[in-house]
Amino acid sequence: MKRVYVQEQWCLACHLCEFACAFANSGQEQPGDGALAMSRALQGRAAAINPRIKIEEKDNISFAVSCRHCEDPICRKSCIAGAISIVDGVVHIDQEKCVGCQTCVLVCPYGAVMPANDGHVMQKCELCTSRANGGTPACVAACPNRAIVFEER
Amino acid sequence: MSKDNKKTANLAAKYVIVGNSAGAIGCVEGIRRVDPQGEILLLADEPYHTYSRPLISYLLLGRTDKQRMLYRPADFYEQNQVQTLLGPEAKVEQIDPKDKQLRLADGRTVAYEKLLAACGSQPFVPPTKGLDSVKKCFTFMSLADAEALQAAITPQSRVLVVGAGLIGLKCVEGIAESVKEVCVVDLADRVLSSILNAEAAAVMQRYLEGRGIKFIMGDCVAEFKENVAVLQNSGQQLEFDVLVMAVGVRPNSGLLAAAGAECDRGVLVDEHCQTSLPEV
Repeated sequence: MKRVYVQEQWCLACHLCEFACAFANSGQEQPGDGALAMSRALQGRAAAINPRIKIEEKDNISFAVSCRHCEDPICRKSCIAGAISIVDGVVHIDQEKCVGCQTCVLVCPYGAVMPANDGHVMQKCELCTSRANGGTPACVAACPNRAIVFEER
Repeated sequence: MSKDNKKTANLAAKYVIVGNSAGAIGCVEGIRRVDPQGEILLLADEPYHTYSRPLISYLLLGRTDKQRMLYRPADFYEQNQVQTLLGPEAKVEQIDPKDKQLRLADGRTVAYEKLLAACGSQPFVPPTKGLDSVKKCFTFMSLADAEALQAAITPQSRVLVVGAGLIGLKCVEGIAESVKEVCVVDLADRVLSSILNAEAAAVMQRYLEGRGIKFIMGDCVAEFKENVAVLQNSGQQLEFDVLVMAVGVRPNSGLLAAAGAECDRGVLVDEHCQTSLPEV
């Protein structure tokens, strides 16, 4: 299965992936939208875009962190609501069933699960499976330096 | 399926599972990973599709509902080819490890090759003088408990919760916004005493007090007089309308113990979770 991988030697910590992620999951993206539509949609929200991919950086090292789509995910095992399942290899949160207990946030070894905007349900990268623009995940498409790739390994 | 015990029983399956919550469902998924075909029969005395017990507090909070509380999709049993018997008639009354059969409440017998007893636990209610005189007394463990509690509380209710552990405080979380006042009494010197140290417990208690919850720690109820609780140490008298007993739980080991399985405070098992009874 294709997954998102990072090549940290190429990451510039430009944070574009975070903006692309937030836009792709905002519900505002229309097919064919580009950077201009994204900047309009997210204007003034830079401090609170709450993306599902996050750049971690220290000194000269930086890289993007998002869900690894583990084959036997501990978040799924820990979910008290039975809201996390694997759909075609993608670890999926059913936000209708999620009650926001945050157990998945505690157990994820990558820190890749976080509260959604309302704080009552959790969110994580789902490889843009529900994205309007389809195909390549938005973070991968937006990375100017191929530091995030979507491939089979 | 030609073993003798199957001929004499009303029902038979290769795998028989008693219980319908996390343990039982995990077992179904585990079996299906290695045996896609073997017959599975699941028995439980609650008449529901598998639901998430920890969500009962979120049900009271209004963050979920009975449909969304399902722990697995509605077609889980069909997808995994599990035959179910759910309801009081399917309560297992007895395990006969010699003939590898169970007897159900409705008198039917069930033959098994392998048996999982995933019976869970039940609330421990300490025998307290006058408890019988309390008209609205609840525990907080199952969906039925939560529904009964929900039906009993009103915005005017004063609720006394005995026990400041996880169950007691999850109950408090569930009802705090829907009742007039909540008071929690616990013999321990701090809240969540089994999982928090004094410092962390103090943070938690302050947070809850900020939400209007009252705590009386280091004390317990000596006697109930209808809607008054008399405390042991302070002698204080607390008036309440609704009582929730959340002191702790005890494992439902009675069924296995009666069948001769070695037990201590719970059922003793080996590194494969097998009891001292064969194939159980």
